[in-house]
Amino acid sequence: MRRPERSRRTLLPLGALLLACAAGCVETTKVKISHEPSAALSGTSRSPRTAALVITPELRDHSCRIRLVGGSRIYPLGEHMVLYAREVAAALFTQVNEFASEADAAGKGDVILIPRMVKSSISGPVPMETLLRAEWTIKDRNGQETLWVANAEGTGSVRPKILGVGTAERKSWQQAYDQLMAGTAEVLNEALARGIAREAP
Amino acid sequence: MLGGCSAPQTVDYTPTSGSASSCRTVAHGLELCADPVTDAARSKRLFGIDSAKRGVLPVHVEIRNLDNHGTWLIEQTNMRLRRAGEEALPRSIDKRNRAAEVYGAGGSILLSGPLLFAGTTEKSKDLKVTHEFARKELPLRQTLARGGAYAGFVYFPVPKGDRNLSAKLLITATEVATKEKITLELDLTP
Repeated sequence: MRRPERSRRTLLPLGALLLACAAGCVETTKVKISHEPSAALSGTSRSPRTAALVITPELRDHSCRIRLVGGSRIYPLGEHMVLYAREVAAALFTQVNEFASEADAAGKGDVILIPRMVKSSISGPVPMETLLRAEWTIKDRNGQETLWVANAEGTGSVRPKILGVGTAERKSWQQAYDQLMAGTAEVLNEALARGIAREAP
Repeated sequence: MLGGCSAPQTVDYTPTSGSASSCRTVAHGLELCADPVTDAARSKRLFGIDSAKRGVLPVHVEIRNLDNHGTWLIEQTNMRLRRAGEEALPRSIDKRNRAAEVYGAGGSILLSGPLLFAGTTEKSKDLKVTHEFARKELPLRQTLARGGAYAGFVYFPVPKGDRNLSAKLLITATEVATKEKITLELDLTP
């Protein structure tokens, strides 16, 4: 009884894809990413400074879009990227306050943190490969000077089992996300180790 | 590759043997190496397609901050084509090049958002190609501390099928402490 149920689950994304292609419309595929506390961030030492984290509408609404035969598919990633940005900032700074724009964040912390998604990509189905790349800008408290710009990325690669395209997609995004988290911890730790946040007036 | 540029971290990238298609310059403590991919077989190995046929010139760029210099913020990459003494991309070529539809800030192609090969239907192979381009792209902005280096590909729209371009690569950088702004220039010889 379980096998037909699983087959139906795995066939659903394919069916939806075919329908989308036939109709020439845009299909949205929900991305499931688990946000367990990252081991990569557990070893980081927090800066005693406060940070003003800028969560822009661009980050909140970020999605990966691919064109398919006669239509396109969108993977909304913004919700996950907001959680990622919050987790990174909270691991690196003792106090983090959130703002919607650089202008709002000016003067509200010792440094301003601006995460931006610069790239997301997916290809497949064999293997199902994903890419997430983020750019982090650290500015002084007034937002006048750029103190540091760092890039971090994560990639995922999963070979789907027969008709298990949906599962492979999910696993691949998760791999990319976990790698992105680890990479971000590394590059931002480097910035902090160089005294970036301490140098901020 | 000429001496001084080493250990690029770009996925699948290996420099060409010999220095014929590799260029290098050092100025203001920054070392810039560039390696344009004009050879069809090399392009297919790296990206899965002959990029020149699609009107795209991938240039592998490595930037290194040599020791005993300041911290630099690399902000822009651009390229000027040279044709018959002309240094800018002629408008007619720019217009008929489909890659120009995704011609982004700084003159290089931005792969995020609209897909690279506008006008084509994305099937499995095209998705793979676009993904390969994205995976290997040089970050647009990056801070380089003393001894730091980074590498990746920058993609420029060029006339389709033209493998003998004469071009100049330009990198703009700002020293973080002094705000000194410089432009590194490097002639690319195919």
